[in-house]
Amino acid sequence: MAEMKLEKVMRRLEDIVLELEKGELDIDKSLEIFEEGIKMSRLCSKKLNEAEAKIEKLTKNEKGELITEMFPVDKEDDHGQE
Amino acid sequence: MNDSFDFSEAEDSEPRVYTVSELTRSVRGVLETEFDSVWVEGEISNLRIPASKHAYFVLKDEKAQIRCVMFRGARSRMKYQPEDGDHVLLFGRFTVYDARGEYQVIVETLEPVGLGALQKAFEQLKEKLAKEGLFDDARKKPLPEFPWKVGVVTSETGAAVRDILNIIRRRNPKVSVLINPVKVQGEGSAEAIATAIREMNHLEDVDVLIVGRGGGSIEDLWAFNEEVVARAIFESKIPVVSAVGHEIDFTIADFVADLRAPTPSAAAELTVPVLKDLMDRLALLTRQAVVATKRPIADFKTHLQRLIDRRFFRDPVGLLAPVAQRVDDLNLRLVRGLGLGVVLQKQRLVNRVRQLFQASPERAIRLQAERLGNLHPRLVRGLAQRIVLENQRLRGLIERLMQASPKKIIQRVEDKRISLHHRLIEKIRSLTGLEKNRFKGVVNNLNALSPLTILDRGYSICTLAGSAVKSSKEAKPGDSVQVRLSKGRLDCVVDKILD
Repeated sequence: MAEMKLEKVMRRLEDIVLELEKGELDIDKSLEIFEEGIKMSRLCSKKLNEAEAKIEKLTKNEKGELITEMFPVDKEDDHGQE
Repeated sequence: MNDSFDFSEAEDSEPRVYTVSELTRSVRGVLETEFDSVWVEGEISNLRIPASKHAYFVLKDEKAQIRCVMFRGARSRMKYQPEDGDHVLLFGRFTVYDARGEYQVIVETLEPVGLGALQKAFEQLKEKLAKEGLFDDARKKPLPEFPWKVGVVTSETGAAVRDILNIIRRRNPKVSVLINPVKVQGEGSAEAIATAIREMNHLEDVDVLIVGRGGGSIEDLWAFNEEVVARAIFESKIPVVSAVGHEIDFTIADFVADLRAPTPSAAAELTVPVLKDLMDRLALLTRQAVVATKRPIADFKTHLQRLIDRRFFRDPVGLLAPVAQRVDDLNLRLVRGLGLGVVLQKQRLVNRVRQLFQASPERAIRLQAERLGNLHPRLVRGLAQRIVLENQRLRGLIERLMQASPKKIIQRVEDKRISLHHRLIEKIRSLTGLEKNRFKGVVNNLNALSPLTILDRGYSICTLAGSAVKSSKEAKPGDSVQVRLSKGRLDCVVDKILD
Protein backbone atom coordinates (compact mmCIF):
# COMPACT_ATOMS: atom_id res chain seq x y z
CA MET A 1 0.00 0.00 0.00
CA ALA A 2 1.25 3.45 -0.80
CA GLU A 3 1.88 5.81 2.07
CA MET A 4 -0.53 8.15 0.34
CA LYS A 5 -3.88 6.85 -0.83
CA LEU A 6 -4.22 7.03 -4.58
CA GLU A 7 -7.97 7.52 -4.34
CA LYS A 8 -7.53 10.55 -2.13
CA VAL A 9 -5.14 12.19 -4.55
CA MET A 10 -7.36 11.35 -7.49
CA ARG A 11 -10.41 12.73 -5.74
CA ARG A 12 -8.60 15.94 -4.93
CA LEU A 13 -7.61 16.26 -8.56
CA GLU A 14 -11.24 15.79 -9.58
CA ASP A 15 -12.36 18.45 -7.13
CA ILE A 16 -9.75 20.82 -8.47
CA VAL A 17 -10.89 20.29 -12.05
CA LEU A 18 -14.52 20.92 -11.03
CA GLU A 19 -13.53 24.06 -9.19
CA LEU A 20 -11.49 25.32 -12.11
CA GLU A 21 -14.27 24.58 -14.60
CA LYS A 22 -16.78 26.52 -12.53
CA GLY A 23 -14.60 29.55 -13.29
CA GLU A 24 -15.59 31.43 -10.19
CA LEU A 25 -12.12 31.76 -8.78
CA ASP A 26 -9.91 34.77 -9.27
CA ILE A 27 -6.81 34.27 -11.32
CA ASP A 28 -4.45 33.88 -8.37
CA LYS A 29 -6.54 31.24 -6.68
CA SER A 30 -7.05 29.47 -10.01
CA LEU A 31 -3.34 29.25 -10.57
CA GLU A 32 -2.78 28.16 -7.02
CA ILE A 33 -5.14 25.18 -7.19
CA PHE A 34 -4.08 24.43 -10.74
CA GLU A 35 -0.56 24.05 -9.45
CA GLU A 36 -1.84 21.74 -6.73
CA GLY A 37 -3.77 19.74 -9.33
CA ILE A 38 -0.70 19.26 -11.48
CA LYS A 39 1.20 18.16 -8.41
CA MET A 40 -1.52 15.59 -7.68
CA SER A 41 -1.47 14.39 -11.27
CA ARG A 42 2.32 13.94 -11.22
CA LEU A 43 2.10 12.16 -7.90
CA CYS A 44 -0.49 9.74 -9.25
CA SER A 45 1.35 8.87 -12.41
CA LYS A 46 4.65 8.58 -10.55
CA LYS A 47 2.99 6.22 -8.10
CA LEU A 48 1.43 4.15 -10.85
CA ASN A 49 4.59 4.05 -12.95
CA GLU A 50 6.88 3.17 -10.11
CA ALA A 51 4.70 0.52 -8.50
CA GLU A 52 6.28 -2.92 -8.70
CA ALA A 53 3.74 -5.67 -8.47
CA LYS A 54 4.71 -8.83 -6.63
CA ILE A 55 2.92 -12.13 -6.60
CA GLU A 56 3.64 -13.83 -3.30
CA LYS A 57 2.28 -16.44 -1.01
CA LEU A 58 2.15 -16.57 2.74
CA THR A 59 3.83 -19.49 4.39
CA LYS A 60 5.38 -20.42 7.72
CA ASN A 61 9.06 -20.88 8.51
CA GLU A 62 10.46 -23.52 10.87
CA LYS A 63 9.65 -21.32 13.85
CA GLY A 64 6.05 -21.08 12.73
CA GLU A 65 6.38 -17.39 11.82
CA LEU A 66 4.53 -16.10 8.79
CA ILE A 67 6.81 -15.30 5.89
CA THR A 68 6.19 -14.51 2.25
CA GLU A 69 7.74 -16.21 -0.71
CA MET A 70 7.35 -15.76 -4.43
CA PHE A 71 4.36 -17.47 -5.96
CA PRO A 72 5.11 -19.08 -9.30
CA VAL A 73 3.13 -17.44 -12.08
CA ASP A 74 2.79 -18.83 -15.58
CA LYS A 75 4.84 -16.68 -17.89
CA GLU A 76 2.28 -17.01 -20.65
CA ASP A 77 -0.46 -15.62 -18.47
CA ASP A 78 1.84 -12.89 -17.33
CA HIS A 79 2.64 -11.57 -20.78
CA GLY A 80 -0.22 -12.52 -23.01
CA GLN A 81 -2.63 -9.72 -22.05
CA GLU A 82 -0.51 -6.62 -21.76
CA MET B 1 -20.20 -73.45 32.32
CA ASN B 2 -22.34 -74.36 35.20
CA ASP B 3 -24.98 -71.89 34.13
CA SER B 4 -25.20 -73.19 30.60
CA PHE B 5 -25.26 -76.68 31.84
CA ASP B 6 -28.10 -75.77 34.15
CA PHE B 7 -29.76 -73.97 31.31
CA SER B 8 -29.73 -76.93 28.97
CA GLU B 9 -30.66 -79.26 31.74
CA ALA B 10 -33.61 -77.07 32.66
CA GLU B 11 -34.61 -76.91 29.02
CA ASP B 12 -34.49 -80.56 28.82
CA SER B 13 -36.60 -81.22 31.88
CA GLU B 14 -39.26 -78.54 31.92
CA PRO B 15 -39.75 -75.01 30.53
CA ARG B 16 -37.53 -72.47 32.25
CA VAL B 17 -39.45 -69.75 34.07
CA TYR B 18 -37.73 -66.36 34.04
CA THR B 19 -38.39 -63.55 36.28
CA VAL B 20 -39.03 -60.31 34.38
CA SER B 21 -35.66 -59.00 35.45
CA GLU B 22 -33.91 -62.14 34.37
CA LEU B 23 -35.48 -62.07 30.94
CA THR B 24 -34.84 -58.40 30.49
CA ARG B 25 -31.22 -58.88 31.51
CA SER B 26 -30.85 -61.71 29.07
CA VAL B 27 -32.43 -59.79 26.22
CA ARG B 28 -30.25 -56.79 26.99
CA GLY B 29 -27.19 -58.99 26.95
CA VAL B 30 -28.05 -60.31 23.55
CA LEU B 31 -28.98 -56.92 22.09
CA GLU B 32 -26.07 -55.01 23.51
CA THR B 33 -23.62 -57.57 22.22
CA GLU B 34 -25.17 -57.86 18.80
CA PHE B 35 -25.86 -54.15 18.20
CA ASP B 36 -23.08 -52.51 20.11
CA SER B 37 -22.39 -50.10 17.27
CA VAL B 38 -25.04 -49.40 14.68
CA TRP B 39 -25.73 -46.89 11.96
CA VAL B 40 -29.41 -46.08 11.58
CA GLU B 41 -31.09 -43.79 9.15
CA GLY B 42 -34.54 -42.34 9.69
CA GLU B 43 -36.70 -39.36 10.44
CA ILE B 44 -36.75 -37.65 13.77
CA SER B 45 -40.02 -37.20 15.61
CA ASN B 46 -41.24 -36.48 19.15
CA LEU B 47 -38.01 -34.70 19.92
CA ARG B 48 -37.87 -33.33 23.42
CA ILE B 49 -35.01 -31.85 25.35
CA PRO B 50 -35.77 -31.47 29.07
CA ALA B 51 -33.74 -29.49 31.58
CA SER B 52 -31.18 -32.28 31.75
CA LYS B 53 -30.19 -31.22 28.18
CA HIS B 54 -30.37 -34.84 27.05
CA ALA B 55 -32.32 -35.23 23.84
CA TYR B 56 -35.04 -37.86 23.56
CA PHE B 57 -36.66 -38.66 20.27
CA VAL B 58 -38.12 -41.35 18.10
CA LEU B 59 -36.43 -42.36 14.88
CA LYS B 60 -38.88 -43.70 12.41
CA ASP B 61 -39.50 -44.73 8.84
CA GLU B 62 -42.77 -45.63 7.17
CA LYS B 63 -43.20 -48.88 9.07
CA ALA B 64 -41.35 -48.80 12.36
CA GLN B 65 -39.86 -46.67 15.06
CA ILE B 66 -37.05 -46.83 17.60
CA ARG B 67 -36.58 -44.81 20.75
CA CYS B 68 -33.38 -42.81 20.84
CA VAL B 69 -31.59 -40.81 23.46
CA MET B 70 -28.66 -38.50 22.91
CA PHE B 71 -26.92 -37.43 26.06
CA ARG B 72 -25.80 -33.91 26.77
CA GLY B 73 -22.10 -34.64 26.20
CA ALA B 74 -22.67 -36.02 22.71
CA ARG B 75 -25.02 -33.20 21.85
CA SER B 76 -22.57 -30.49 22.81
CA ARG B 77 -20.05 -31.80 20.25
CA MET B 78 -22.48 -31.24 17.39
CA LYS B 79 -22.90 -28.21 15.14
CA TYR B 80 -26.18 -29.40 13.76
CA GLN B 81 -29.20 -29.31 16.03
CA PRO B 82 -31.82 -31.85 14.89
CA GLU B 83 -35.47 -30.98 14.72
CA ASP B 84 -38.62 -33.02 14.23
CA GLY B 85 -38.97 -34.14 10.64
CA ASP B 86 -35.22 -34.07 9.97
CA HIS B 87 -33.86 -36.99 8.02
CA VAL B 88 -30.75 -38.14 9.82
CA LEU B 89 -28.09 -40.78 9.92
CA LEU B 90 -27.08 -41.67 13.44
CA PHE B 91 -24.46 -43.82 15.03
CA GLY B 92 -24.89 -45.38 18.45
CA ARG B 93 -25.35 -48.53 20.48
CA PHE B 94 -28.38 -50.49 21.39
CA THR B 95 -29.51 -50.86 24.96
CA VAL B 96 -32.54 -51.88 26.98
CA TYR B 97 -34.11 -49.65 29.52
CA ASP B 98 -34.99 -52.23 32.17
CA ALA B 99 -37.51 -50.15 34.09
CA ARG B 100 -39.75 -49.91 31.07
CA GLY B 101 -38.76 -52.93 29.15
CA GLU B 102 -38.00 -50.76 26.19
CA TYR B 103 -35.04 -50.87 23.91
CA GLN B 104 -33.44 -47.68 22.70
CA VAL B 105 -30.44 -46.41 20.82
CA ILE B 106 -27.95 -44.29 22.70
CA VAL B 107 -26.83 -41.88 19.99
CA GLU B 108 -23.20 -40.89 19.77
CA THR B 109 -23.19 -38.90 16.57
CA LEU B 110 -25.93 -37.73 14.35
CA GLU B 111 -25.75 -35.98 11.03
CA PRO B 112 -28.29 -34.69 8.62
CA VAL B 113 -28.78 -36.74 5.51
CA GLY B 114 -29.18 -35.29 2.06
CA LEU B 115 -29.54 -31.75 0.70
CA GLY B 116 -32.59 -30.92 2.72
CA ALA B 117 -30.78 -31.36 5.99
CA LEU B 118 -27.72 -29.39 4.89
CA GLN B 119 -30.06 -26.70 3.71
CA LYS B 120 -31.58 -26.81 7.15
CA ALA B 121 -28.24 -26.31 8.90
CA PHE B 122 -27.55 -23.49 6.48
CA GLU B 123 -30.85 -21.80 7.24
CA GLN B 124 -30.32 -22.22 10.97
CA LEU B 125 -26.91 -20.57 10.90
CA LYS B 126 -28.05 -17.89 8.51
CA GLU B 127 -30.91 -16.96 10.79
CA LYS B 128 -28.70 -16.94 13.85
CA LEU B 129 -26.01 -14.76 12.29
CA ALA B 130 -28.56 -12.42 10.75
CA LYS B 131 -30.05 -11.92 14.20
CA GLU B 132 -26.61 -11.08 15.52
CA GLY B 133 -26.26 -8.45 12.81
CA LEU B 134 -23.42 -10.07 10.89
CA PHE B 135 -25.13 -9.37 7.57
CA ASP B 136 -26.08 -5.76 8.30
CA ASP B 137 -25.28 -3.43 5.46
CA ALA B 138 -24.24 -0.80 7.94
CA ARG B 139 -21.37 -3.06 9.02
CA LYS B 140 -20.10 -3.57 5.51
CA LYS B 141 -16.87 -1.84 4.63
CA PRO B 142 -16.39 -0.10 1.28
CA LEU B 143 -13.74 -1.61 -0.98
CA PRO B 144 -10.69 0.52 -1.68
CA GLU B 145 -10.84 2.13 -5.11
CA PHE B 146 -7.19 1.41 -5.84
CA PRO B 147 -5.85 -1.55 -3.91
CA TRP B 148 -2.08 -1.90 -4.17
CA LYS B 149 -2.10 -5.36 -2.64
CA VAL B 150 -4.86 -7.92 -2.89
CA GLY B 151 -4.90 -10.78 -0.38
CA VAL B 152 -6.31 -14.08 -1.62
CA VAL B 153 -7.46 -16.85 0.71
CA THR B 154 -8.02 -19.97 -1.35
CA SER B 155 -6.41 -23.24 -2.37
CA GLU B 156 -3.12 -22.70 -4.13
CA THR B 157 -3.77 -25.60 -6.47
CA GLY B 158 -7.33 -24.80 -7.48
CA ALA B 159 -8.59 -23.10 -10.58
CA ALA B 160 -9.74 -20.13 -8.53
CA VAL B 161 -6.25 -18.87 -7.73
CA ARG B 162 -5.23 -19.05 -11.42
CA ASP B 163 -8.34 -17.18 -12.48
CA ILE B 164 -7.84 -14.50 -9.90
CA LEU B 165 -4.15 -14.03 -10.74
CA ASN B 166 -4.77 -13.92 -14.47
CA ILE B 167 -7.43 -11.32 -14.20
CA ILE B 168 -5.53 -9.13 -11.78
CA ARG B 169 -2.38 -9.26 -13.95
CA ARG B 170 -4.37 -8.50 -17.06
CA ARG B 171 -6.30 -5.62 -15.57
CA ASN B 172 -3.61 -4.05 -13.52
CA PRO B 173 -0.01 -5.31 -13.51
CA LYS B 174 0.80 -2.76 -10.82
CA VAL B 175 -1.27 -4.56 -8.23
CA SER B 176 0.48 -7.02 -5.93
CA VAL B 177 -1.13 -10.25 -4.82
CA LEU B 178 -0.52 -12.16 -1.61
CA ILE B 179 -1.93 -15.66 -1.50
CA ASN B 180 -2.59 -17.39 1.79
CA PRO B 181 -3.02 -20.96 0.64
CA VAL B 182 -5.63 -23.03 2.48
CA LYS B 183 -7.50 -26.25 2.23
CA VAL B 184 -10.99 -25.29 1.04
CA GLN B 185 -12.88 -28.51 1.58
CA GLY B 186 -12.97 -31.45 3.94
CA GLU B 187 -12.16 -31.84 7.58
CA GLY B 188 -10.66 -28.71 9.17
CA SER B 189 -11.02 -26.58 6.06
CA ALA B 190 -13.37 -24.06 7.71
CA GLU B 191 -10.93 -23.51 10.55
CA ALA B 192 -8.05 -23.16 8.08
CA ILE B 193 -9.95 -20.51 6.10
CA ALA B 194 -10.83 -18.60 9.26
CA THR B 195 -7.22 -18.69 10.44
CA ALA B 196 -5.95 -17.52 7.05
CA ILE B 197 -8.31 -14.52 7.14
CA ARG B 198 -7.04 -13.60 10.60
CA GLU B 199 -3.42 -13.96 9.49
CA MET B 200 -4.03 -11.56 6.62
CA ASN B 201 -5.39 -9.07 9.12
CA HIS B 202 -2.11 -9.16 10.99
CA LEU B 203 -0.30 -7.87 7.93
CA GLU B 204 0.05 -4.17 7.38
CA ASP B 205 -0.30 -3.76 3.67
CA VAL B 206 -3.19 -5.87 2.41
CA ASP B 207 -5.87 -3.53 1.06
CA VAL B 208 -8.59 -6.02 0.24
CA LEU B 209 -9.20 -9.75 0.66
CA ILE B 210 -10.69 -12.24 -1.78
CA VAL B 211 -11.93 -15.35 0.05
CA GLY B 212 -13.25 -18.23 -1.98
CA ARG B 213 -12.85 -21.26 -4.18
CA GLY B 214 -14.02 -22.60 -7.48
CA GLY B 215 -17.24 -24.47 -8.12
CA GLY B 216 -18.17 -27.78 -6.54
CA SER B 217 -20.98 -29.67 -4.85
CA ILE B 218 -22.75 -28.16 -1.90
CA GLU B 219 -20.69 -30.43 0.33
CA ASP B 220 -17.49 -29.17 -1.32
CA LEU B 221 -18.49 -25.59 -0.66
CA TRP B 222 -19.59 -26.34 2.87
CA ALA B 223 -16.62 -24.79 4.65
CA PHE B 224 -17.90 -21.42 3.50
CA ASN B 225 -21.15 -22.12 5.32
CA GLU B 226 -19.42 -22.66 8.63
CA GLU B 227 -19.77 -20.27 11.50
CA VAL B 228 -16.00 -19.92 12.09
CA VAL B 229 -15.54 -18.61 8.55
CA ALA B 230 -18.48 -16.24 8.89
CA ARG B 231 -17.06 -14.84 12.13
CA ALA B 232 -13.56 -14.45 10.71
CA ILE B 233 -14.95 -12.52 7.75
CA PHE B 234 -17.08 -10.37 10.02
CA GLU B 235 -14.12 -9.57 12.27
CA SER B 236 -11.76 -8.78 9.39
CA LYS B 237 -10.60 -5.19 9.35
CA ILE B 238 -9.66 -5.62 5.72
CA PRO B 239 -12.69 -5.50 3.40
CA VAL B 240 -13.58 -9.00 2.24
CA VAL B 241 -14.91 -10.04 -1.17
CA SER B 242 -16.42 -13.51 -1.14
CA ALA B 243 -16.00 -15.63 -4.24
CA VAL B 244 -17.40 -19.09 -3.71
CA GLY B 245 -18.28 -21.49 -6.50
CA HIS B 246 -20.49 -20.41 -9.33
CA GLU B 247 -22.97 -17.63 -9.73
CA ILE B 248 -25.83 -19.75 -8.36
CA ASP B 249 -24.04 -20.77 -5.19
CA PHE B 250 -24.83 -18.71 -2.14
CA THR B 251 -22.94 -19.35 1.06
CA ILE B 252 -23.00 -17.83 4.52
CA ALA B 253 -19.63 -16.28 3.65
CA ASP B 254 -21.38 -14.38 0.85
CA PHE B 255 -23.82 -12.83 3.28
CA VAL B 256 -21.16 -11.72 5.72
CA ALA B 257 -18.64 -10.50 3.15
CA ASP B 258 -18.44 -6.81 2.37
CA LEU B 259 -19.07 -7.71 -1.25
CA ARG B 260 -20.21 -10.96 -2.85
CA ALA B 261 -18.65 -11.82 -6.14
CA PRO B 262 -20.43 -14.51 -8.16
CA THR B 263 -17.14 -16.22 -9.05
CA PRO B 264 -13.43 -15.89 -8.22
CA SER B 265 -12.81 -14.23 -11.61
CA ALA B 266 -15.56 -11.73 -10.93
CA ALA B 267 -14.02 -11.04 -7.53
CA ALA B 268 -10.75 -10.08 -9.21
CA GLU B 269 -12.60 -7.82 -11.62
CA LEU B 270 -14.62 -6.15 -8.88
CA THR B 271 -11.56 -5.60 -6.75
CA VAL B 272 -8.94 -4.31 -9.14
CA PRO B 273 -9.45 -1.35 -11.50
CA VAL B 274 -7.97 -1.52 -14.98
CA LEU B 275 -4.67 0.32 -14.98
CA LYS B 276 -5.26 1.82 -18.41
CA ASP B 277 -8.59 3.28 -17.31
CA LEU B 278 -6.82 4.75 -14.35
CA MET B 279 -4.12 6.30 -16.51
CA ASP B 280 -6.70 7.60 -18.98
CA ARG B 281 -8.72 9.14 -16.21
CA LEU B 282 -5.65 10.76 -14.78
CA ALA B 283 -4.63 12.13 -18.17
CA LEU B 284 -8.15 13.42 -18.80
CA LEU B 285 -8.35 15.13 -15.44
CA THR B 286 -4.98 16.73 -15.96
CA ARG B 287 -5.99 17.96 -19.40
CA GLN B 288 -9.22 19.32 -18.01
CA ALA B 289 -7.33 21.14 -15.30
CA VAL B 290 -5.04 22.70 -17.87
CA VAL B 291 -7.89 23.76 -20.16
CA ALA B 292 -9.94 25.10 -17.28
CA THR B 293 -7.01 27.16 -16.10
CA LYS B 294 -5.88 28.33 -19.53
CA ARG B 295 -9.25 29.85 -20.38
CA PRO B 296 -9.40 32.45 -17.63
CA ILE B 297 -5.74 33.17 -18.12
CA ALA B 298 -6.35 33.83 -21.82
CA ASP B 299 -9.31 36.06 -20.96
CA PHE B 300 -7.22 37.85 -18.45
CA LYS B 301 -4.46 38.38 -21.01
CA THR B 302 -6.85 39.79 -23.60
CA HIS B 303 -8.32 42.11 -21.08
CA LEU B 304 -4.91 43.21 -19.97
CA GLN B 305 -3.80 43.81 -23.57
CA ARG B 306 -6.88 45.90 -24.19
CA LEU B 307 -6.11 47.95 -21.15
CA ILE B 308 -2.49 48.39 -22.10
CA ASP B 309 -3.50 49.48 -25.55
CA ARG B 310 -5.43 52.41 -24.18
CA ARG B 311 -3.93 55.87 -24.36
CA PHE B 312 -3.82 56.12 -20.61
CA PHE B 313 -0.98 53.65 -20.43
CA ARG B 314 0.77 55.00 -23.47
CA ASP B 315 0.71 58.66 -22.46
CA PRO B 316 -0.35 58.87 -18.85
CA VAL B 317 1.04 62.39 -18.27
CA GLY B 318 -0.66 63.88 -21.28
CA LEU B 319 -3.84 62.18 -20.16
CA LEU B 320 -3.56 63.38 -16.65
CA ALA B 321 -2.74 67.04 -17.35
CA PRO B 322 -6.28 68.12 -18.27
CA VAL B 323 -7.58 66.12 -15.36
CA ALA B 324 -5.24 67.90 -13.01
CA GLN B 325 -6.31 71.23 -14.44
CA ARG B 326 -9.91 70.38 -14.03
CA VAL B 327 -9.35 69.34 -10.47
CA ASP B 328 -7.78 72.71 -9.76
CA ASP B 329 -10.64 74.50 -11.46
CA LEU B 330 -13.24 72.50 -9.57
CA ASN B 331 -11.47 73.13 -6.35
CA LEU B 332 -11.63 76.85 -6.88
CA ARG B 333 -15.28 76.74 -7.81
CA LEU B 334 -15.99 74.55 -4.87
CA VAL B 335 -14.45 76.99 -2.42
CA ARG B 336 -16.27 79.89 -4.01
CA GLY B 337 -19.53 78.17 -4.43
CA LEU B 338 -19.49 76.49 -1.10
CA GLY B 339 -21.75 78.99 0.63
CA LEU B 340 -24.28 79.11 -2.16
CA GLY B 341 -23.81 75.46 -2.88
CA VAL B 342 -24.70 74.42 0.61
CA VAL B 343 -27.87 76.51 0.59
CA LEU B 344 -28.85 75.06 -2.75
CA GLN B 345 -28.09 71.55 -1.67
CA LYS B 346 -30.16 71.98 1.42
CA GLN B 347 -33.05 73.41 -0.51
CA ARG B 348 -32.83 70.51 -2.93
CA LEU B 349 -32.78 68.08 -0.12
CA VAL B 350 -35.83 69.62 1.51
CA ASN B 351 -37.64 69.56 -1.82
CA ARG B 352 -36.64 66.03 -2.37
CA VAL B 353 -37.93 64.97 1.02
CA ARG B 354 -41.19 66.77 0.40
CA GLN B 355 -41.49 65.16 -2.99
CA LEU B 356 -40.84 61.86 -1.49
CA PHE B 357 -43.54 62.34 1.07
CA GLN B 358 -45.98 63.64 -1.51
CA ALA B 359 -45.16 60.92 -3.92
CA SER B 360 -45.74 58.31 -1.33
CA PRO B 361 -48.96 56.48 -1.96
CA GLU B 362 -49.40 55.74 1.65
CA ARG B 363 -51.53 58.25 3.45
CA ALA B 364 -50.33 56.79 6.66
CA ILE B 365 -46.84 57.79 5.85
CA ARG B 366 -47.97 61.34 5.16
CA LEU B 367 -49.79 61.45 8.43
CA GLN B 368 -46.83 60.07 10.15
CA ALA B 369 -44.75 62.72 8.47
CA GLU B 370 -47.09 65.44 9.67
CA ARG B 371 -47.08 64.12 13.12
CA LEU B 372 -43.41 63.98 12.88
CA GLY B 373 -43.43 67.61 11.75
CA ASN B 374 -45.42 68.57 14.80
CA LEU B 375 -43.42 66.53 17.07
CA HIS B 376 -40.19 67.79 15.80
CA PRO B 377 -40.26 71.33 17.32
CA ARG B 378 -41.53 69.89 20.55
CA LEU B 379 -38.82 67.46 20.47
CA VAL B 380 -36.26 70.17 19.81
CA ARG B 381 -37.70 72.33 22.56
CA GLY B 382 -37.76 69.48 24.96
CA LEU B 383 -34.33 68.61 23.97
CA ALA B 384 -33.07 72.17 24.48
CA GLN B 385 -34.59 72.31 27.94
CA ARG B 386 -33.16 69.02 28.70
CA ILE B 387 -29.79 70.19 27.54
CA VAL B 388 -29.97 73.30 29.74
CA LEU B 389 -30.92 71.19 32.72
CA GLU B 390 -28.28 68.70 32.01
CA ASN B 391 -25.78 71.52 31.67
CA GLN B 392 -26.69 72.93 35.01
CA ARG B 393 -26.53 69.59 36.61
CA LEU B 394 -23.22 69.06 35.02
CA ARG B 395 -21.92 72.40 36.23
CA GLY B 396 -23.10 71.60 39.73
CA LEU B 397 -21.39 68.30 39.52
CA ILE B 398 -18.22 69.88 38.26
CA GLU B 399 -18.28 72.40 41.08
CA ARG B 400 -18.81 69.70 43.63
CA LEU B 401 -16.15 67.77 42.01
CA MET B 402 -13.80 70.76 42.12
CA GLN B 403 -14.58 71.30 45.76
CA ALA B 404 -13.97 67.73 46.40
CA SER B 405 -10.60 67.89 44.80
CA PRO B 406 -7.68 67.60 47.24
CA LYS B 407 -6.29 70.96 46.31
CA LYS B 408 -9.59 72.49 47.29
CA ILE B 409 -9.65 70.55 50.51
CA ILE B 410 -6.14 71.62 51.38
CA GLN B 411 -7.09 75.19 50.55
CA ARG B 412 -10.12 74.90 52.76
CA VAL B 413 -8.12 73.45 55.62
CA GLU B 414 -5.56 76.19 55.17
CA ASP B 415 -8.30 78.82 55.21
CA LYS B 416 -9.76 77.35 58.30
CA ARG B 417 -6.35 77.23 59.89
CA ILE B 418 -5.75 80.89 59.11
CA SER B 419 -9.12 81.94 60.39
CA LEU B 420 -8.57 79.94 63.57
CA HIS B 421 -5.20 81.51 63.96
CA HIS B 422 -6.73 84.97 63.68
CA ARG B 423 -9.38 84.10 66.13
CA LEU B 424 -6.75 82.81 68.50
CA ILE B 425 -4.69 85.99 68.18
CA GLU B 426 -7.87 87.98 68.72
CA LYS B 427 -8.75 85.96 71.76
CA ILE B 428 -5.25 86.31 73.15
CA ARG B 429 -5.36 90.01 72.46
CA SER B 430 -8.68 90.56 74.16
CA LEU B 431 -7.67 88.30 77.04
CA THR B 432 -4.41 90.21 77.44
CA GLY B 433 -6.27 93.55 77.53
CA LEU B 434 -8.54 92.28 80.26
CA GLU B 435 -5.63 91.04 82.34
CA LYS B 436 -3.93 94.38 81.93
CA ASN B 437 -6.92 96.25 83.33
CA ARG B 438 -7.30 93.78 86.11
CA PHE B 439 -3.64 94.12 86.88
CA LYS B 440 -4.04 97.90 86.97
CA GLY B 441 -6.88 97.54 89.49
CA VAL B 442 -4.90 95.17 91.61
CA VAL B 443 -1.94 97.47 91.54
CA ASN B 444 -4.17 100.34 92.51
CA ASN B 445 -5.60 98.35 95.38
CA LEU B 446 -2.16 97.39 96.38
CA ASN B 447 -1.19 101.00 96.24
CA ALA B 448 -4.13 101.90 98.39
CA LEU B 449 -3.10 99.35 100.96
CA SER B 450 0.55 100.18 100.82
CA PRO B 451 1.82 101.88 103.95
CA LEU B 452 3.90 103.99 101.69
CA THR B 453 0.76 105.46 100.24
CA ILE B 454 -0.49 106.29 103.76
CA LEU B 455 2.85 107.85 104.44
CA ASP B 456 2.18 110.03 101.44
CA ARG B 457 -0.71 111.42 103.29
CA GLY B 458 1.47 112.43 106.18
CA TYR B 459 1.45 109.31 108.32
CA SER B 460 4.62 107.76 109.49
CA ILE B 461 5.59 104.40 110.84
CA CYS B 462 7.52 103.88 113.94
CA THR B 463 9.46 100.68 114.15
CA LEU B 464 11.38 99.19 116.94
CA ALA B 465 13.80 96.48 116.13
CA GLY B 466 12.17 96.00 112.73
CA SER B 467 8.54 95.77 113.91
CA ALA B 468 5.96 98.44 113.80
CA VAL B 469 5.21 100.07 117.10
CA LYS B 470 1.49 100.33 117.43
CA SER B 471 1.28 101.13 121.17
CA SER B 472 3.29 103.42 123.35
CA LYS B 473 3.61 100.65 125.82
CA GLU B 474 5.81 98.75 123.45
CA ALA B 475 8.61 101.16 123.93
CA LYS B 476 10.56 102.44 126.89
CA PRO B 477 12.24 105.75 127.23
CA GLY B 478 15.64 105.57 125.82
CA ASP B 479 14.72 103.06 123.08
CA SER B 480 15.97 103.81 119.60
CA VAL B 481 13.12 103.78 117.19
CA GLN B 482 13.04 104.41 113.56
CA VAL B 483 10.40 106.54 112.02
CA ARG B 484 9.67 105.97 108.49
CA LEU B 485 8.36 108.94 106.61
CA SER B 486 6.98 109.19 103.14
CA LYS B 487 10.40 110.12 102.06
CA GLY B 488 13.33 109.12 104.17
CA ARG B 489 13.69 107.86 107.73
CA LEU B 490 14.37 109.26 111.14
CA ASP B 491 16.37 107.53 113.86
CA CYS B 492 14.84 108.72 117.11
CA VAL B 493 15.26 108.06 120.81
CA VAL B 494 12.20 107.73 122.97
CA ASP B 495 12.21 110.45 125.46
CA LYS B 496 9.05 109.96 127.38
CA ILE B 497 6.20 107.55 127.46
CA LEU B 498 2.72 108.96 127.24
CA ASP B 499 -0.52 107.11 127.33
